[in-house]
Amino acid sequence: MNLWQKYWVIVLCAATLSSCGTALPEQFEEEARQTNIYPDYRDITIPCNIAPLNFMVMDSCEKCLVEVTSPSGDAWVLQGDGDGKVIFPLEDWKGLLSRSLSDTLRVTTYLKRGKWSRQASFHWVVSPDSIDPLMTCRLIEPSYRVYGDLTITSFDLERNSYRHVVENSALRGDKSGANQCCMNCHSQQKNGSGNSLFHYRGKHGGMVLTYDGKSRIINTKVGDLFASTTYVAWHPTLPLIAFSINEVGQCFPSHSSAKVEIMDSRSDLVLYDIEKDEISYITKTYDKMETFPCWSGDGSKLYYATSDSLLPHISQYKKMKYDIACIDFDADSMRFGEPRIVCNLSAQGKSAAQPKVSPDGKFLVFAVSEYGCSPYRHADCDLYQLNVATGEVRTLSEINSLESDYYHDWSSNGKWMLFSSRREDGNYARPLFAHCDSTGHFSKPFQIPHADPAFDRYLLKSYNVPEFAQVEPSMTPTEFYDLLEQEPTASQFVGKMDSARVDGASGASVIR
Amino acid sequence: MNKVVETIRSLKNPSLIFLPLFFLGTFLYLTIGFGDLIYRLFWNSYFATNELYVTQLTHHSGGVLRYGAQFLNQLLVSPVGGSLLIAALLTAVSGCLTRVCRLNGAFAWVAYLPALFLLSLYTGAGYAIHANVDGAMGMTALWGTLFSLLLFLLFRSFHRNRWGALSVVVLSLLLYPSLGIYAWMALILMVVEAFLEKRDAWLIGGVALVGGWMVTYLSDVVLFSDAMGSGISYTLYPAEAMKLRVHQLLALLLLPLVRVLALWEARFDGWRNPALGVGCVVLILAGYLFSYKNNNFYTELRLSRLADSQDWKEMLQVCKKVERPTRTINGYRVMALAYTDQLGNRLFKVKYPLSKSEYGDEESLFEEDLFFYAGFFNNSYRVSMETWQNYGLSFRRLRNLFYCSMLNEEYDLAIRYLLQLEQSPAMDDFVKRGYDYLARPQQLLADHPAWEKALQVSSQEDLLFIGGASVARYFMCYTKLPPTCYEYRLLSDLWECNLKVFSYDLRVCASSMEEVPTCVQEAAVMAVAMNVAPPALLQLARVDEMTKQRVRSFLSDWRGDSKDVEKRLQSKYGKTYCYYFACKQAENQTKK
Repeated sequence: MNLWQKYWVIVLCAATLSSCGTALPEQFEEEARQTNIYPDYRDITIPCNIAPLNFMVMDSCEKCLVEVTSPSGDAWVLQGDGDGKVIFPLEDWKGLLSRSLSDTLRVTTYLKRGKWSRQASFHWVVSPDSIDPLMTCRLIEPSYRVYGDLTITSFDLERNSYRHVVENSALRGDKSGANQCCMNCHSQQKNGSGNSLFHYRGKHGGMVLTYDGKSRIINTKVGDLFASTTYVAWHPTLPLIAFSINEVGQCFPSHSSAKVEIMDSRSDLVLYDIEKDEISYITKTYDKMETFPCWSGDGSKLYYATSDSLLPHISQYKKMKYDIACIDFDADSMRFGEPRIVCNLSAQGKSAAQPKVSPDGKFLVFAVSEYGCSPYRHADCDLYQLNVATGEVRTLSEINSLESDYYHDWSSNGKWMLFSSRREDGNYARPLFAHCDSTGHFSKPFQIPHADPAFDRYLLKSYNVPEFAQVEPSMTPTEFYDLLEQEPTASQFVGKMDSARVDGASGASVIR
Repeated sequence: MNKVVETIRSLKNPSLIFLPLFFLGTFLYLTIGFGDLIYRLFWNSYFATNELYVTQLTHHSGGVLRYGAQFLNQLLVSPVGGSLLIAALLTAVSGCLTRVCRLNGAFAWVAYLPALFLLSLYTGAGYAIHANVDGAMGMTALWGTLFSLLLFLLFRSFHRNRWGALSVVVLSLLLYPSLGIYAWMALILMVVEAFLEKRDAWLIGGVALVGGWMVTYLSDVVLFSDAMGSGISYTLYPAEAMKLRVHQLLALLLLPLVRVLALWEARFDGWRNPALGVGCVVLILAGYLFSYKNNNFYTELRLSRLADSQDWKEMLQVCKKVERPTRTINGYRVMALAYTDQLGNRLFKVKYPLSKSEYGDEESLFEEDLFFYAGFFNNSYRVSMETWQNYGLSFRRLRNLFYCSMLNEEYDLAIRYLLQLEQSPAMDDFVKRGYDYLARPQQLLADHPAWEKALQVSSQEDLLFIGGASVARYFMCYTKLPPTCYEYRLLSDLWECNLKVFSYDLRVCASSMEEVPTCVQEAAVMAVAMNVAPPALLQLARVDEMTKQRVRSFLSDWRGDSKDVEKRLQSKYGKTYCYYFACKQAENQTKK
């Protein structure tokens, strides 16, 4: 054996010993408190298919060991690295979860600070309810005025990986971002078809729609629509998408903690028929606002946020209050019914927005704050829940925090909810997941896991408008970029200009 | 002296004296002439060790070189240490080129020309700062060029052996993902050498060309999912600082040219000494010509650095020496006057009241500072965030984000920025102080007493900024302040020459004022004389008889005539509010 061979044998032995030979200390002191870890994964319910919950031990120590035990007899000991990062190998983790369905895993940490101590353990309940495999969102600095470094990113919740679906900096060959435009969020039809869309704004912008595996860019500002389509609601089964069209403004308060205020000066709802490439009004009103549409799980109702007044001036944005309304939809006749308010919070001086109903139609969750329909930066913004059957409204105190908790989405099986929260520092939004039981109560939320548990500590971007997805976007980024270079095709506007077919009382129109 | 000349003449290789002289010269030139610029380049750069950042930066061809350059750029935290490093690297580039081209005769000085172009990346860094380019741009070019030359040196030492030479070519190809354009540069030098030496030229040329194309495709497109050739532009930095990019490219272009020129050096042996003399003059002239010359810009850099150290008095001294200030200099002057409580008495006491703008959007460079010191922390915070999104993260922006968060009492947010900064050894002291401030927030104001004034403003009612408000307008924002900030409020009315609002504000504020500054008295007389306010305003402004007469005399001389106002009225009314008002009116009329 020459010198090099000897060297490699020693290195391999050392590596093997360090990975396999981790043994728990025989002598230690008991400590009553739990270890501080980042992200906070203590005492939570987790999906059976979630990626490894890698974490960092935040208590200072020379060495840390983590023991994960299951009732079925699994006992797994891992050693944290120099930064206290505890990384679970993916395949072993998957095996552990698959053997522990409906079980409670107990996690115990041992810290060496001179002597060894054992901290009070915490638990992970492994729910048999799986979570959608992907989450898409925008990654953006929380300033909302420049878009040079904006990405639409897809996170694999089962494998702790991510990929950028579109990177604005790579578009149009301009790294400085000076010629780039805003991209809006990626949204997928929740039927496993992979049909999806996002908007690219600006001069040659439009809706980038992928349907039946084919992608095209469409101009949706047609007819007498005062704006192009904005907030998206895919019909659960039909080739229909409800949109709000919004005239969006923003302003920047010089001193308040809400560093940016986003408000609509006008908004209506429209319906886009994908196969006919036709767009028509759902509501067209001159003294009201309608925004944030959301279909019920069976597609028979369309929920949305509505305000009974327009924004008189941008400085009056605090006066805008929204309620949650609902309108029936008959898929056979393609007719919408009479709108009705299902949750009137403006009467209590509050404003409700962003309704999302659970796939079984039982629970409607929405964001509530003092004013406005885009309460992203309002520290008082919380998630509320309406029991659709009883009409009871409650604050989701089990998941809300002192900072803003808003933009949420249901998993396709309705067992998990995803929402954004600025609870870490009041500024940078992070996505959290919580399990919903049959009574509509949620478990303690937990933050998105990453291969590097410090990822979110160093990420100076917000996860904006996160949504579940079931299928990876089929196009490559390059194909997207090529598509964005093309001139968008105009969709057809259906209905008379400034239409007389609009129902005067309700604003509802008849869809052809 | 004669002995020294004799020694130089007798030297077989003039580089033995040229190299130390070049090192000393560049070091002194940088330290004495460009200290503030180097300080700014440090703050405009960034370095971190977290996986997320390293992955992002190195996920392009040439990323490893850029990351290494960012690491070394931290030495610029001390302008002297930074100058030493830059001078040493420039000397190393020249030394390598001299050795590799065996220049020791009449053309010995030519080996220093590429280094001079590289030096201009620092002495001309004003262009880069205006384009908000990463402060480590120069360091990347220096290291990249040095690597190219070292690879070429390696090639030279193997070039008699076909397989040895080919191995170095392959090594250069493999280094493309790390070095970007500089790997290509090494390949070009090798091909040139092979053709000059007529040794395996077509073989080496073919391998370099085909291999270069393949490795560029594999690295840019396959490995990093970028466009073909993006690694080349990535190591050259954005094209905004076009002049510097030209200098970078010229430095690279000169490398093979110098090698070709070296072939003819022997023919000029008889001209060696005069040629060396001329070469020295050319080098010195080129060094000077390539630098960025704009006194106002350097004054702004100086003021920015003085504001960092809260040396308000020195700032006023610096401003005093400026013949005609830019808007940014005016901004810093206003800041210094406000912090030394001299705003009322000295705001309009300037030789030339109008700002001078030499370059487009000058204020954006210093906008975050000016918003910060004006007490608009959210605006300052937003500017930092947006410039970083457009141009990249920097220590300066992170520092500002930290301070804004502290003063907004957003301590968890402040920790997030400290976490970023603590990864850089150059920021150790700052981070240590930062954690002290988090433990005892009151210490921040104890260490920065002037910021109390900014906090007074920030405690007022929200002002809404719709879109981007430029610094030219930041002073105007004070017009909306309540009477407790009467001085700011009145003076900003005067700054905007809005006598109508001024006369209204004076009625609100007058009773709170212990003393009425002369400029306010002058403005009151003007407002009454111009019928925008009732005569009772004179009493409120406590106008003395002398001021009254002076303003009346001014009005009769001026008569609203905008022609040659600046020259015509300066001798008699210079450094008064009346004069400022007249000049501003003339400027507005010209704009119309």
